[in-house]
Amino acid sequence: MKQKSRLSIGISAGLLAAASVTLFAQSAPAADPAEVVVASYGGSFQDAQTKAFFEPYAKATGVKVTGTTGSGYAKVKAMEEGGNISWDVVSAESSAHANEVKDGLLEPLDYSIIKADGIPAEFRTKYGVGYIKFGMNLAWSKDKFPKGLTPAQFFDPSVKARRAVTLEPEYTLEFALLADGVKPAALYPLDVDRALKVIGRVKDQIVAFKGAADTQALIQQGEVDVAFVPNGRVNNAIKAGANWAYGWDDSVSDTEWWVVMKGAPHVQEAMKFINYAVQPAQQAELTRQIPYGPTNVDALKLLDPAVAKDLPSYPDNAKLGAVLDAKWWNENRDSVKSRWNSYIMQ
Amino acid sequence: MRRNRFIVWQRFFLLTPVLLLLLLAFALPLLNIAPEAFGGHAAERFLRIFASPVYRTVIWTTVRISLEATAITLVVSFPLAWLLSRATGIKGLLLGLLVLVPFLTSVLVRTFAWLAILGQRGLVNATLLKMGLISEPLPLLFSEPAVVLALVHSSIPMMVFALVSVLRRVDGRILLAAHTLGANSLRAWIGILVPLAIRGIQSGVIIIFLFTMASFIAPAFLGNQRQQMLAQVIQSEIETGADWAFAAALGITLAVTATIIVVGFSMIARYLSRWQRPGTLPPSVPQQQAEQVDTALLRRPAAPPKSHLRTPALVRFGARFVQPAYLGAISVFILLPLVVLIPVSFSSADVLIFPPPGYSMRWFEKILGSQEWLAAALTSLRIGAATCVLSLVLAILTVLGFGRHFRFQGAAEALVLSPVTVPSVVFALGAYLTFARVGLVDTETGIIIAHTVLIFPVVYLVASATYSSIDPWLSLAAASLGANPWRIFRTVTFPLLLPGLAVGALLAMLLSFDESVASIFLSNLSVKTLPRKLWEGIRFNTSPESAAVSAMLLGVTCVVVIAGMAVVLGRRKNLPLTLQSAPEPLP
Repeated sequence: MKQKSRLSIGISAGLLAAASVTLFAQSAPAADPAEVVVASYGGSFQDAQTKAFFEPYAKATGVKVTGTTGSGYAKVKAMEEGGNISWDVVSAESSAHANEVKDGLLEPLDYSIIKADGIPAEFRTKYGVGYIKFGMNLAWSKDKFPKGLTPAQFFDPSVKARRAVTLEPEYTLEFALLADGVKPAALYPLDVDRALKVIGRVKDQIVAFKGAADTQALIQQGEVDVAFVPNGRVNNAIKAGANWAYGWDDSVSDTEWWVVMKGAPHVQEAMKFINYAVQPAQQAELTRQIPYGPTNVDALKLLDPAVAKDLPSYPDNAKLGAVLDAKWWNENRDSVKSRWNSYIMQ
Repeated sequence: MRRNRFIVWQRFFLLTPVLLLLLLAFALPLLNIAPEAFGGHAAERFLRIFASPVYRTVIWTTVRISLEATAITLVVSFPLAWLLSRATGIKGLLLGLLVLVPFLTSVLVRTFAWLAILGQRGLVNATLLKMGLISEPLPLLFSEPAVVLALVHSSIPMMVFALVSVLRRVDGRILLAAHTLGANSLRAWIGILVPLAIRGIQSGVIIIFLFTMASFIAPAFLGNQRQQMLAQVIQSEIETGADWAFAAALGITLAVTATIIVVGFSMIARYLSRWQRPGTLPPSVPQQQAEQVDTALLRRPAAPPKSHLRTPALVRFGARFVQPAYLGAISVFILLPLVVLIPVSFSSADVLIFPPPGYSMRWFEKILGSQEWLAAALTSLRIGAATCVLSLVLAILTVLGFGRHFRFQGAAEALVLSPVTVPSVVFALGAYLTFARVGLVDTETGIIIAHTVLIFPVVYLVASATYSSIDPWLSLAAASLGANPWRIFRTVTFPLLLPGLAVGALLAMLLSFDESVASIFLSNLSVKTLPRKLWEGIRFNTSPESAAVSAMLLGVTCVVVIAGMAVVLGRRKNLPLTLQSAPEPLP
């Protein structure tokens, strides 16, 4: 019996040791190379960013670039409040950028590292660099609507179609008001009640309130017939074989910003990454991957002039739509967002 | 006296690793949710949940969808469980496989398959369009029925397992007796089988309800914003590592809501099964009831012949086809999502279309040529192997530690099995919050620990069943021939345990390889397991690439199930042989 108990002690101790060796052998940290975590939106936009920024930067500098998804004001805010900051660089729409600045969630940018003289001063603020301009456009399946579709038809319940709009209130509220006849100059302050009433006409035909990546997947999958999506996403869906078209009527254009999380784990690397990403060559490469307009005027010179027609900044496109007012969203987002959330869930 | 103390010590040392694991990696993480949720501005946090129409809607949606899925699962699984409990031979084997294969297939894979079935260009719409029954594809995806359907499909195997164990003990002649007394089939089922199976129904309903309450994969893929469920919100809070306290508060809300409803279920079940424990009732009540029942029975015989006489031919004709029709329908329902994946994964199209416009190997080529998928597969393999080894070791120690006569066997077993009774999202949430404090989130070690907690109970069950089938006299015989305990273990117990351990090892590998919930919670940027990568892939791009990965996972499952059956059947066949050949090595 004595032997037996010694045996079991032996087995247990040995196995425990073996187990801990197996476990900790793997977690032994190697000397960490420099790294930077970039949060974006997934799908074809992130694929384009990976090809234009992440991969070449990693290749050129040896820094490990980890791309992740889920960028959004609410997430940035929650992460900062929870104190568990795992992101460094975040790609933010102008409304998210403005709100993140207001709430003090961002690290001031270090313009001794970030050099981009080709970018107009209005896009180089204390906390962010505006790096592309994109449009939110009405897009439709050519199988279902060979003659095209007007924004007014989008909100006409007698035009039966499976519709998709944005998950967030931004852009869709503007689109509804523009489609209802509000002039771009008179758009702000937004008449939220009126916008929700307009959307309410076709709400039962809206099958998805989704982020841009999901919406592109729905388009390619044939799950929706019409969608209100970023121009680059629908462009890439068409490139991938979707029989779709889109227009610039009542489009809403906006700027996308690079920002750095306050207290980010790799602040220095974040600045260096942003500097690389806003250089003309990289900006031009992104536009080749997905037709969003570069803010760096030197990048435009590197591009095929034909590409310019796909960009929201092209004068013929710009005059058909409106520009999102980040300042209004900065002041009103909290109340609009909570209304919107309960509205879309009912 | 001395001997007893040795046995106690021996048990203690054998059981220490298991206790440590359960304490540190299971109990602690679960307990950790509460201080996280109630720390700081707790009132504000819970107010944010219960005062907001959005979260109230989410809670109500979660409960509603879970109740729907549980009720439907119970109704469709009950006949299958009954048939399985009566089946023998090849029919039993096939029915067992029908339940086992989907059970061992990743929930992620099973849910994803519904996209290819219910989509605008999916199987159902393509078939209906071709038959000319509809002119426009039906909107099937992104709706509550789609979510419920997928949840029911995932739940059937678990429900069947819960019911079968109870139904096996029912004496089949009781139905015959009911028939002779004039009850038709439906009446006999509802009046006799259902009450007799009430224990199985109770445990099945509770298991399924907890499973559906905690599901986030089905609503994320197949629902829209109106089908958002609590676990989905928790998962998205955790994915970005955002507001831990808020996620913990949501986790508490989920656990409390689920507990309240489960207690309700148990009360209903106790009420319905009160006749099974007449002793616990006040003495006067059963007498009254007995009288009522007696008179009711006395009055009954007059009625049944009528019902029998009405349309006997039609009833008999229908009855003959009810069983095959049901079996056919349920088999199609269970197997269809798995079968559909195979043609879709060979599709030449860029998107999920059924039937595929052409066939090619391009998606498999793409996967096998992709560094990311291969790395994910290797990660999953490494985690699976480590989980397998750890689970096996712990299971052996636990089985030996419990021994044959353990006074607290019941309580101890309940403790060991407790990880499988907690909703996986709640455990994953607790593990995330705890592991993050010690730097184990987003590491392989963290996932291995979580997988071991979740999977070792299953291995223990298999090992313990095998152990109890070993004749205890063999060890005594060996001891009387002078073998020391280590030698007895090495030459007698271990070889006899081996088939059970082999099946346990296969199960552990497979369950770890397919496990999605803990993998999705505990991995983020640097460690990506196969299910995690698949989860990301499906969310951003529903291409046949994901179908190909799913088909490969399904293939792995089938291979493992076949290997497991070979082990079990091979052992039975070889048993007489080993006994015969055993004397040979003797000089």
